[in-house]
Amino acid sequence: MGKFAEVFLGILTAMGGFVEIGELTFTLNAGRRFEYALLWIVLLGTVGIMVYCEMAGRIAAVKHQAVFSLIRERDGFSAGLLTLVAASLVNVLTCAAEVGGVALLWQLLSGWPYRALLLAALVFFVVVVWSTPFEWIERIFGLGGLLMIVFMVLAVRLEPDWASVAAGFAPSLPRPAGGRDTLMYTFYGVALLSSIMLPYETYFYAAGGIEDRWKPSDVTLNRVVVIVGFSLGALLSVSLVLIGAEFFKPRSLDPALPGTAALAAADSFGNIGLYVALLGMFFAFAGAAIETALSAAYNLAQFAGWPWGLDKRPRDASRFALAWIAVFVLATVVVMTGIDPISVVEYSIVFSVVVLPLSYFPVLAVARDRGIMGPYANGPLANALGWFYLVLITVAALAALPLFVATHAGQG
Amino acid sequence: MIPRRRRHAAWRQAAFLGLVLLVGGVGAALYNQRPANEDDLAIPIGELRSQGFELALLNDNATRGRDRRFVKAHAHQLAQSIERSRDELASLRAAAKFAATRSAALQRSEPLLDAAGQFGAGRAPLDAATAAQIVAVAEQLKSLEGTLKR
Repeated sequence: MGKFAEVFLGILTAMGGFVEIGELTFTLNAGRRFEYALLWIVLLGTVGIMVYCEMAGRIAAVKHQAVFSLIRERDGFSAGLLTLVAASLVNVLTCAAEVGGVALLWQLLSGWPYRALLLAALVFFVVVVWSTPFEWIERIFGLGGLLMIVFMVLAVRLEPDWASVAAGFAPSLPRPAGGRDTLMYTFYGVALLSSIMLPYETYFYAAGGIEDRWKPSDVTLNRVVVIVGFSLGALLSVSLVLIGAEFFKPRSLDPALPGTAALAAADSFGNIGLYVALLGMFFAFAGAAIETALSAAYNLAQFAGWPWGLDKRPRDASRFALAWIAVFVLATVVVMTGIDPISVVEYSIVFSVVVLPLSYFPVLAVARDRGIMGPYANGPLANALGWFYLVLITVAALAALPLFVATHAGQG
Repeated sequence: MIPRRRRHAAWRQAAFLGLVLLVGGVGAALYNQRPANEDDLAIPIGELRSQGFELALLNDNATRGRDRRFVKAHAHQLAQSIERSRDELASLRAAAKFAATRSAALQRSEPLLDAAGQFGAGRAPLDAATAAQIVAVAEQLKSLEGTLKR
């Protein structure tokens, strides 16, 4: 494949895979509650995920080392094990929310019972990951996720006040400041930041670079894909905030189900809009389910030093294969209990932010080390941004759980 | 073979994690035992308000020829959410001064379940009187929620 086509497909895949069920829920509700006031968090989080995915991708291209082998090497066994346990818990919870989301979407299309569809989803995921090469998984679900563009078209059609939208990109506090509003605003800010910077995205991105056999000459490709692909993905997040403000707020409606988001598209574009939105969400949620399950297996295999990768036959990487199957099974069991997938999302998003500093510090430490990375080490800008985001996510991690309790998980 | 020092460290970490979970669990149980205040009550009432307005929107879309299978399945999912919110509201130990508000919200939200049931049985769109009742119920719940948040 030509370089241009590779870059183009990489960008589209990064864009299509940007939004999952957690981000969908939090962006729509952030717009519903605070109109455009949290748009600056979307911008802040997008630059943050770009900074760390670019570093992790660069390390993968230059040193062929993935995130969790760095974590064990840099943090030591004990701290590394703690990070592994926490990251695995977050991955299972996120995967459970995505599997539940897929079953809810299938129910909207078929009318079949939810629990039967959860089992069908489990079989579907295991068969797809078992039988499909890594590159095809990335492409099919990333490109399918582009159907979510229907929400970008909807946001424009709702004719928001563009001057107010632009003002939303400047950091602000809710008015009147103080009290419960400020607490809710801060919780939504932290949750939105976490949903955009979900740690599995970095684990998966770096492992994907190694699966795709990136070389040092691919460092520029990595940078272009991250910057352009994630910027376009962020436009989708911005669109969801606008839909929350322009469609759901005037109707006093707090979107809490995937079907509610689809209903917004149906209201403007009829049945075609409905089907496109449902399909777009299916590819986005299914892609995220696969990425979280594989991330958990990558992390475990990299930490333990087992052979890993979808290019290996399962018998040659049996513990890796068993790990991703176990994650799908565990995730399905979680949602089989009858727990609402959206509640699972809330927990996974809050616990994710706690894992972020532990996951990102080793990435920054290696990416800035000239002794390891040579001429590919961070420049002054990457270092400054890396430290800035590390401090930011550490503060967010410390604030996340108290905010979660104080705001009843952002409900009031 | 894992070195003994590392095994001990792993056990210490597991014990610490267990202790944190135990303290958290006991804390959460004690927190849930206290009488519900206005913020606690406003959450399920706000959910019911939102579900009421969503039923109205779904009905509006059903009248405009939206895919019947989608309308039926989405109403089924909404009915489950309504039941969950009503159960949550019913399970709250409301302080005496909020008991009337809780009862009013439970009573007023009953037509939402009936309407979602009608959709679920494939009887969409709703007749004009039921559709108007749903909007009225959602507005009443909004007003109750507003009183609690004031």
